[in-house]
Amino acid sequence: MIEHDEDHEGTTVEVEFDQQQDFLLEKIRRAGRHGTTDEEVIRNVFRQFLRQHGTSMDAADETRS
Amino acid sequence: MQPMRHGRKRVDLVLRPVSGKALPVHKGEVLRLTQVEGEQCVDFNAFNLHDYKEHLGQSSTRSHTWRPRQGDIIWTQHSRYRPMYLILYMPDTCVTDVLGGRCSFALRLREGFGAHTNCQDTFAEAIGEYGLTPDDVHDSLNIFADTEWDPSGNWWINANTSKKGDHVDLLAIMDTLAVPVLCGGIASNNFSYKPIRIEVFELTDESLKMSERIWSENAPFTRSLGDFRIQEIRLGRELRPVPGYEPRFVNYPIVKRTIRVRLSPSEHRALRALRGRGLGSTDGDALRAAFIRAAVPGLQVRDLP
Repeated sequence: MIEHDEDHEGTTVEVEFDQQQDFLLEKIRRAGRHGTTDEEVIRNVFRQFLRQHGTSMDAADETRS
Repeated sequence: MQPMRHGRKRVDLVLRPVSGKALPVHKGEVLRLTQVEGEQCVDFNAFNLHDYKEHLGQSSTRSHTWRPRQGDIIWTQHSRYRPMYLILYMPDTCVTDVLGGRCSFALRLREGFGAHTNCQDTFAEAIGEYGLTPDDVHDSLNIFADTEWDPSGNWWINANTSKKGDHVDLLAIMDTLAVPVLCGGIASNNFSYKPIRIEVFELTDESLKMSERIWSENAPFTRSLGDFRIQEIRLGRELRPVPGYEPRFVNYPIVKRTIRVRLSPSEHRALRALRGRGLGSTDGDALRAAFIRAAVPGLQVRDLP
């Protein structure tokens, strides 16, 4: 997995999904509550994870979906 | 769980110490095991009455809990993973075990005993009535069996605290051959053997409805014989490769694709913090792990430190 340097706008993370994880991603995407693209869905589910685990984000109101 | 009215009693017998009995318990019927004196462990095997290759699954049941109690389901083995019994009633004095397997003649010989009662042999004798062999005995659901385990892998047996009159009710979700045996071990029964009463109550509209509900709720997650590539039971004992056979592993080979996800600076800092807590060794690993953990709420995984 390649990690890009962080710039002022953020960081692009490359994440690998196999076909089984893709199934899950597609199911969530079709449900329509977390976005319409793979990137949006992954990012929004990740934000949900952060909320569930009380992990702080300095700018939690930054949204992009 | 609401108390359920039982049907007419059709079996009522008392098993003498170190014996066992194989008996059909049909869908919607209730099998009751009662302490006649107390302090007696019961090891329990069960088969699908119409296909003996499907049997009680100790590890599939353990996937849910290793202390099944009232309200839990006892499942068949992983190849089918179907609901077999519901624990309809179980008192607090009953501790169950699905880790310890069963005792055997070899174990007792190693301990220095001579020929000694043991659950493997008791099961084998009981199921012989239906033409089954010692190899058909499987790891048991142990009832009134207070074992204890520590994280290092050590285990021991606590005193059996069951009392006279304590009973367990199992509601059959499928047609079964139930095989309760009275443990012939040593410490599990506080060093002496006692009888157990066995009763079977016929189905009622209510019990049948509950069985069918549990069956249908779980049907999407189960398999049956019809799903198997090879359905015939081997006749010979010697194993030889099947000419031309090619395994069809599920989702084989694993194929990966890369997805680019733009995170805000604060999200990325949070991701890095999660890596520090052991979520993954790279950003991509950590992001995937967080995604799956959030997307699958029932995942049995340790909380992050």
